[in-house]
Amino acid sequence: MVHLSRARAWAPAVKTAALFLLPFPLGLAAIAALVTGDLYRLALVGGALSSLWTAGVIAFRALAAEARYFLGERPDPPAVPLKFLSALLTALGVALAAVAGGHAVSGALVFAALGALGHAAFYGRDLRPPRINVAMVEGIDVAAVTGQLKQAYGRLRGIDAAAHAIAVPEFRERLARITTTGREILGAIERDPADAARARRFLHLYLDSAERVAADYARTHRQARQDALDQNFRKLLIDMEHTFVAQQRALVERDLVSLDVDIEVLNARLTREGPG
Amino acid sequence: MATLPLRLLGLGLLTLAILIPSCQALFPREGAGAPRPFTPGFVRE
Repeated sequence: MVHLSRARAWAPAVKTAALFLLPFPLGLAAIAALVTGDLYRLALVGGALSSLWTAGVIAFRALAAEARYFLGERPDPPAVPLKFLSALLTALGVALAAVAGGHAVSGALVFAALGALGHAAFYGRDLRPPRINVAMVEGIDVAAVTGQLKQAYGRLRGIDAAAHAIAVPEFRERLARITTTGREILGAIERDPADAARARRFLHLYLDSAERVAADYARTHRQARQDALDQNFRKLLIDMEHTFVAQQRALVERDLVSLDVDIEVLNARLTREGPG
Repeated sequence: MATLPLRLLGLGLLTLAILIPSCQALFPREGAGAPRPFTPGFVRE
């Protein structure tokens, strides 16, 4: 299912083409060094080229992992600082190329610093995993609650990604309000993980449906704008907003029994009337 | 978007940092007759 939110999330990965295309003259320099039998230059140029291309591969992996993270397809960003590694290799490749070009070590270091700086500014820094600090409560499996929360945060990121692909400002704003409330609910569960058991249906059933409906609308809306579909989606969003706020209030007031029934009803509506 | 100028600056720096030495490696400067780094002559000097 290729749609706009996916394309937007994956777009930064295209930027790694710079690390593969810009060192193109080094390939010609390697051939020239081979023809003249200058093995010293060949070693330097070959080292520079392989460093820069490896940096490109690593940067692509970092940006692809970030795209999956922003789409809610993986719970955490990469554990290894891939962009930092890629920047180091870029600096090494640039320094070797500068030495091959006749620069002294000091000049090569200046180019290496410029390369690392440019890399950091162009590709950005490594994402840090969000802090999920679940309070220790007796009788609660903190690891399990952390896992549930990671999954729930992933679904909220999926809703955010779908919202970015929707052209109607009203719908984007409503979805932004929904995810803001969602994050506040998850924050409340972190502070009191006993709430996770009470909000089970919200975490598993409702967030999943909400993400699916938003993604389906973003996809179908791109293909054709229909008033009936828009009206239907607006009603669903209003209901979703109410349910999120009600969930938040229920967590505070500890009144989950009636809300679970509401969620069941609304989830059935989302499944039945969603645009997909 | 606030990060766009930063990204463009980064692309510019990266382009200069890679292209200049790459082109110089393709057409080495004639003045670079000094002992090359990491060679015996360089170490002696």
